Amino acid sequence: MATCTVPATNNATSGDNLYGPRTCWQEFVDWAWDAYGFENDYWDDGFGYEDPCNRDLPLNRTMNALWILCYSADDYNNDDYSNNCLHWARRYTWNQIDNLRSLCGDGSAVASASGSRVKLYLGYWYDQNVVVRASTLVHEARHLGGKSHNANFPAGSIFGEGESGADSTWDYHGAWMYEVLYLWWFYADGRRTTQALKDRAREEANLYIDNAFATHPGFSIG
Amino acid sequence: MATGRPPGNSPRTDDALAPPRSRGRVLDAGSAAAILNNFLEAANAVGVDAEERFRAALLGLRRHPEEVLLAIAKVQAGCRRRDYPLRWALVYAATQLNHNAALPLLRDLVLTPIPAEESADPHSFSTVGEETVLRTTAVEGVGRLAAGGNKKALDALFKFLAIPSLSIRRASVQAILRKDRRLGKRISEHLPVDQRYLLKVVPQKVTAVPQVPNPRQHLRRAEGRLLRKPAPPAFADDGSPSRTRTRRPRIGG
Repeated sequence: MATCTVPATNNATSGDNLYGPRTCWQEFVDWAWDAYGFENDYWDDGFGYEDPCNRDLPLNRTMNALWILCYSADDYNNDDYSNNCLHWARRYTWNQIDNLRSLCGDGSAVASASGSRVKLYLGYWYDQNVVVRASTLVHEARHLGGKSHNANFPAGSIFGEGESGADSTWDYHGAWMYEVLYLWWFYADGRRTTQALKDRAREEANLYIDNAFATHPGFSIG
Repeated sequence: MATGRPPGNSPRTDDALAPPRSRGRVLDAGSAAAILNNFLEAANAVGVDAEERFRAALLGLRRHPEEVLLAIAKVQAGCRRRDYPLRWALVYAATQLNHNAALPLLRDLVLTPIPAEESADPHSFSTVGEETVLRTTAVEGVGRLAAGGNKKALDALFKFLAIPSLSIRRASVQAILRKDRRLGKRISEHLPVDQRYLLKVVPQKVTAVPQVPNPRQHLRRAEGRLLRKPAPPAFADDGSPSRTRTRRPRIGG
């Protein structure tokens, strides 16, 4: 068992002051707890089980990302897979994830996926803003769908030229494509949010387009 | 799924999280700091008056550009290096000034070498990635100044092309081309041969790129089973009645 510490953080700029009041909502917490398989023993001991509305703590910051997935489309109940990614990402993630755990981690990964389980680590809540947290779940859910990365990062990639972990192309339909697409739709048509968070989503998506595909898709977010 | 606690004598597998050592106050009091703080709050607020509040905060920011830039620099210097949401918001504020006085701060940020990767697993989280996003956001700010006729900003964009970062180069190329599409040849001369493809990267709308053809086929099991999970509750601004359950985090209790 490891012990870690909540770092100093600004909840306005992370988006948690915006979404935190929305997830201080028992019915939503109850639903998400079951739908994503939050495992009790992994969310107590300071991670927020005892204080689910506390925006400084992992549980509320995770709920905030789930709220984004669930309610950022204009007609959010229309989550049919024939619609765009902003609509179906919520359904896709809760269909894929059966078990969600919070852990300290070693400071490298923010999340990992295996079987039907996603583990979240300290950086997930405190290095990422709330929209990127949502997109991370989309990325991990794609891995749970059986799609591993299949290529090495390209020359000049920030992820390490020649290292494994890239998707070969956009048409590979891998985790990077899913994550970019979600961020892109959020930027283009996200609702109940701010322009600043949408602009931040655009920057993140462009970063992945440039660096996470062995062959550059040939476009960026205009 | 909710599970009970492990038996008393078994080793704990979960971790513990301690509260922050001190909450601290990131933003100082004072006029420019207060204006900046007001902008950061307004930029991250929603509601019926959010748009109006944001515009008012932006006006306040633009009324005192030099002072605000000093406040940004001060907060930047004092905040946790890995508080990327705050650091990005500060760069974003500087770009939203849309003022020539912001050029030195934005240019210096882009030209500051990116610290070495701190993550052992950059695929999952990359400090170089976060630092890059700060810089591409700054490049966009410089690009807007260049589009407004600031020659030093245009010069800075060409200087950025020497930075060995795909994203900084791509953002710079597109900013220059937005200013003047005829500059492609000059850009090409500043790029390594194997990265001249960046000139052909086209800014697109999301509706113009290939989507996931049928996400259902990428589920890990038959959908019939998946549909057992209910949809989330309807969103209500005023909250909804709570249902009493056990083993769920209780709000207010």
